[in-house]
Amino acid sequence: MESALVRTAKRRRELHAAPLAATGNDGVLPTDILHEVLLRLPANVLCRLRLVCWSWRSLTSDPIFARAHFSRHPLIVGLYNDASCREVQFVDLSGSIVKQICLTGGWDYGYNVSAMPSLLCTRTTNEGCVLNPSTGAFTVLPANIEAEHQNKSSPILSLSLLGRIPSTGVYKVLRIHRYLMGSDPLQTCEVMTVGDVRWMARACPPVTVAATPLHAVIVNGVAYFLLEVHHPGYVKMGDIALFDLATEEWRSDTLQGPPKGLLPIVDEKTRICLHLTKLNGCLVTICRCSTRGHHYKDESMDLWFLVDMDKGQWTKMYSFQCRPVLEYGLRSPLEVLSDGRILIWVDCVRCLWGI
Amino acid sequence: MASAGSGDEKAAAAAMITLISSDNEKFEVTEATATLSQTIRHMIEDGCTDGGVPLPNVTSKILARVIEYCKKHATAAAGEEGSSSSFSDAAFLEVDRAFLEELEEFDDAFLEVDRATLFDLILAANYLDIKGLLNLTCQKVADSVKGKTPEQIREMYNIVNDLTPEEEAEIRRETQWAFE
Repeated sequence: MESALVRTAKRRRELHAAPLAATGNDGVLPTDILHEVLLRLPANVLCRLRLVCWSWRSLTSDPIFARAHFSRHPLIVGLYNDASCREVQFVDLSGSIVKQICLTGGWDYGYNVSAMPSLLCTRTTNEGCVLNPSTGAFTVLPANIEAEHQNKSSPILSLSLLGRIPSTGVYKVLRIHRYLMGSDPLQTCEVMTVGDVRWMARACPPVTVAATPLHAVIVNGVAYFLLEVHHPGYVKMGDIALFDLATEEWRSDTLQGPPKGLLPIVDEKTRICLHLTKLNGCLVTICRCSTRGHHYKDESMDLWFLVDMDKGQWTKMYSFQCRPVLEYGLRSPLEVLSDGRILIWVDCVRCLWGI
Repeated sequence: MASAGSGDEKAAAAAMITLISSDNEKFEVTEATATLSQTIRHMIEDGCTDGGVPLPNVTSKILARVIEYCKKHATAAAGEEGSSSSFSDAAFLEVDRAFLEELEEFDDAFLEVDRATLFDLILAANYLDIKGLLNLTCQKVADSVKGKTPEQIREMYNIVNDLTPEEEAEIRRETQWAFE
């Protein structure tokens, strides 16, 4: 949070090297003020006011502004799906739907509840889709498999992740397919730049990665995967595999997860379950602790933030007991708000919970 | 400024800081009032306040208003710190609520200024890094534009529409939902 604020302040200084005027202001809004004022307007008002003039528009399009604004006025994006209608909904913290985008076509399955990114990626049974939330335009990603993998039987599991490369602003989708070849699993890796029409085959993961939405995440142009052991859904404690979206290569070293010695002790009664997510622009390992036999009935949750990527340093920034009323259903932290509270999605009751 | 004969604690409480506006007017304020400004707090911590703190970006007219705000809110902050003992919870909450109401009334009255003054206050709050004042004044401007059309806002704030019709159409396309 701190770093985003410092960045904003720095940015503002760069934009306005001239000293502030001490003598009157002729009723004109200086850009410094404008920035502070626009941050305090809700998203729907802000979008309407992009029409005022060029500088209002460019300020509100600035990614640093967008991030600062988002932490004050988060929008939750979800795919709403029932028999009669399929739409992407944008909900603000008061629970009102501020925007809906109706989807046409074969959206028969979707998994995506996330804080608002610039583009969304979701998956139907056969194909991935990329949605631009501001225009409502969505692109169906080709389902076909890169030629060199076509001799294989159809994949039994697949995961598509959308990420942005910070240095170029380019969006790419990373797709991992899992095939069953005899007793050993085989995973393939393909990449497509958003706007292109075909997948490019890339090196297979050097180790078996846990290719499910809960075990993989893209942060700052790098995809992080927990490692799979034995079966899909079972992950190895400790190591994280990295795929660089810019170079489209797997990193040779794995990243160490939060120190095992500091995680809760696993015994015959207690189980822990690790997931990855992105909060506040940081890679976060979620450590869920529960009593054996009660799947997804978390009793407590620790959030470990990767605070220093170079040193691989993790810090436990949040640790909380789950309230009994919300004890069923998977809880997914979505975003850290500007006041430090965390927004949590509770899967089965479909409610949001701030802590 | 140190009052002779008193203990260290008392001397610290009474420590005065001199602020100098862009038009060279001097204002004496207590340290508690001055340190609502993070900028001044850092100067005090660095020991750079001897001979007064020059504030070349703030006029005497605006500085007087800023000090008025800081005095009121410094009292509020002091009240919060010293409140933990002596009151029973209920009595304390009662006092607290009355005080917050009073503070809110003060803030409302404080914002009854013309637009140029409001902008100068924002600039000063930004420069002096006074979070509460920046929030208060920016929220006032934000509230004033909330229900307005882009055209009304241009008129209010003397903004020239420099968007081409094509750009306007593009923005409308990008954010169609906001106009529905």
